[in-house]
Amino acid sequence: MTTLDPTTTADTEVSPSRSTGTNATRVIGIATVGAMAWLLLFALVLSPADVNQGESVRLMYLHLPTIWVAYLSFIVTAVASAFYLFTKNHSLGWDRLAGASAELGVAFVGLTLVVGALWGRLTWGVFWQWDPRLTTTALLFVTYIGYLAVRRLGGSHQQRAKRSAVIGLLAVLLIPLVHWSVVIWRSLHQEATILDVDGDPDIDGTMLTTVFIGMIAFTLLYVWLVMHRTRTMAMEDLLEDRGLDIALAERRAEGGAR
Amino acid sequence: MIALVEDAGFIYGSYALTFGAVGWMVWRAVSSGRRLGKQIPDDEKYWT
Repeated sequence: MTTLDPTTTADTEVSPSRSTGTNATRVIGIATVGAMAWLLLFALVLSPADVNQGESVRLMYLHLPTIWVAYLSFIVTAVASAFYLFTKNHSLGWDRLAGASAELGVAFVGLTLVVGALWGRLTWGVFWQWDPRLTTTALLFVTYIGYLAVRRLGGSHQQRAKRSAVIGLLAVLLIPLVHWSVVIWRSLHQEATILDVDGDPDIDGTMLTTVFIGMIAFTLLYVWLVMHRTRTMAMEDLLEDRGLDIALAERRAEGGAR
Repeated sequence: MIALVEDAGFIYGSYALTFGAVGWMVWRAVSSGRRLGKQIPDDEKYWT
């Protein structure tokens, strides 16, 4: 195993293999760009206006994919947290995947809330209402900000992983509450369109196609981002360990000199 | 096309905001990966 050289500087060697990119991420990146281009074409040009909502329905092609990716992110966080807690070796790889996925989930919930507020202004006349769906989504957002804050508390990597895994497993229970809030309580927000209880989405064919293109595009983006972020977190942990090793060596040297 | 509709500001604004945020996330992922990657030997990176 190669030891990390603390004297290595950023300018000494540069090669493409040194970043977080690989052939897999490059292929996913190209596919993401292509899918996003298709999304823009369908969402802004080919998809028709809605009978009731008019042109504002085009915000659905951002709103649904972003909340879908946020749900996916938080489910991945929970699954990775479970793998960390319940497997024998307690691999930090699972912890990093959980953390990277939660970061992305928070970003995508944030986008969902902002785009939803703009859509709400057009359809309801207000940016925000303390409606069950909006309130539970805001609660989901704040909960995962708390999860990310807990990850930044002090301690070893294993301590960080253990405490955040417990929160990751509990916080995911909010997703069913958010999803069914429109059914459980009286809500201004419409009920599920795609995941309809009778399995027959009440939506025009081109609109449905556009929603699916959006979901594919944003899922690819999520996969690309989570791969890069997980690798970056691995390097951050390595550098933190190196900093600790150097600090310990300096303390030992100080002790030996006395 | 939606160029002439009344709500175009909200619609285009939402797309600009979303894709701006996505662009920022992509830039951050790539730049931090490159910056940290220069400080770690390649054989310490499990993906290389």
